[in-house]
Amino acid sequence: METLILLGLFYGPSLIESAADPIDGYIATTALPDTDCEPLTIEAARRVAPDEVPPPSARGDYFDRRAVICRERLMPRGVRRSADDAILSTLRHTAEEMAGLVDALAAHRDRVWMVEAFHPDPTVTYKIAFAVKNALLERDLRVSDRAPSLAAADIEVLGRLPAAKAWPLACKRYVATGSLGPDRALLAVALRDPRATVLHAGLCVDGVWRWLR
Amino acid sequence: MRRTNSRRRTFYAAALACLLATGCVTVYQPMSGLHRPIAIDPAYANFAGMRFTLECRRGRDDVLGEDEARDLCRKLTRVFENQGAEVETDVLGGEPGPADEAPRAAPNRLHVQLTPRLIDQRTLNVLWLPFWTVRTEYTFAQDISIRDASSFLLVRDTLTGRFVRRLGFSSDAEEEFSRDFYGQLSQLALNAKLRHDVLREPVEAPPAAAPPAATPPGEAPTPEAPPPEPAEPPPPEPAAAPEPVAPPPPPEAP
Repeated sequence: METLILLGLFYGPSLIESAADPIDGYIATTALPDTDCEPLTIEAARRVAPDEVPPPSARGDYFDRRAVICRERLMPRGVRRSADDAILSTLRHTAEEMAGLVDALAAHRDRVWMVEAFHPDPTVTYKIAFAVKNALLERDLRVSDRAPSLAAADIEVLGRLPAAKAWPLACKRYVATGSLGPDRALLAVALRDPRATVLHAGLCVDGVWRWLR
Repeated sequence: MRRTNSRRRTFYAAALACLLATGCVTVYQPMSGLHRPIAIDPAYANFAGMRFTLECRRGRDDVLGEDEARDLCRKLTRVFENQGAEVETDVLGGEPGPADEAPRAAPNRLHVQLTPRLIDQRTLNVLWLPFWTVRTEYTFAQDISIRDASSFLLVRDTLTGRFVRRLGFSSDAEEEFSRDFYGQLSQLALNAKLRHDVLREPVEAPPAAAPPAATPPGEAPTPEAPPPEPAEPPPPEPAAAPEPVAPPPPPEAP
């Protein structure tokens, strides 16, 4: 009997404390697989989930509270390639940041924006272009569904050049062939290295190329 | 009498086992930043020819002791050197301040700054006895910023995790945390390097604001101010537009 009491004293508080813990809890409803968790302050938690976090009592809060918000991942781990998962999981934030950079270019705000994405995977390429176009539209910028094109010979020449020369030359060729008119501008979003998890944004306006981020 | 002695021995053995088992398992939970997927493989020479300066800070109120900060810098140095980089380290106290935004004396280096923070810490004791802890958990954050030699901020991120030290029997928390932490840091360093390379590429001057004057047909349009070309031959002039074909004469009246 004393042994049981001793075991209860040692292990009981730990078991009670960890019952609803997201990492090693043993209550199935709280131990969610494939979740991304982050700690929050109590005030932030009240804003995010006011029904889950009660307001403090008028006489003060006698408990030491903390909040951890866990969101179930849209896609379980391992379904997508890690590199694609890293880019797509932050795509919304990346697209909004790029749209913000474009929006800050007051001199070119009246142009029609064309968006082109460069990524090894066609599905990811489409998603990147779609997200960036949506982000530009949300900022009341004019966006075209078309993309500028180059002749096959131009593409062959550009493919043999180093990246630092290819992008500016491609921009000049877009304008020279009339594919990118004077009232239009091109926002190119590219993955420069297969090991990277960030996208780079470049601007082609009037035949002049520069990187934004 | 024998049964009483036997029960007493069992009791003492159980007490000793419980005492020895206190806090022998660490469980690790990756949080924001640490759970992000990575594309880089730290087993390859991803940073060949690169130079880094690692600044391992001890954080506010010395969250990390000097030995711990030095140990962290030593391990991270090995992680980057295994990937082909040349690394210098610096262990500093406190948190970064305005002086860290001044240009650095060491050019051609990326400066990686790590600042730890303790977000939350709590302990659970048996019968509220302060010396008899059965569960300890703490949530930490590592603020990482990577700047170039001119102190231009290339990458900034925060890696957050949680450790729970409780009674149990087995765990591989250290290996999982090391894999996540070193992987995320390598990924951030590679992203910073790519951003640094991209932003250093030469930038062309924009063309003149006024549009070129209208030219009569038959003459090739010439730009008013040709943009400077960095080490490239001037672009070939476009071929002259063909002369307009004169319309055929109207048929003569019968």
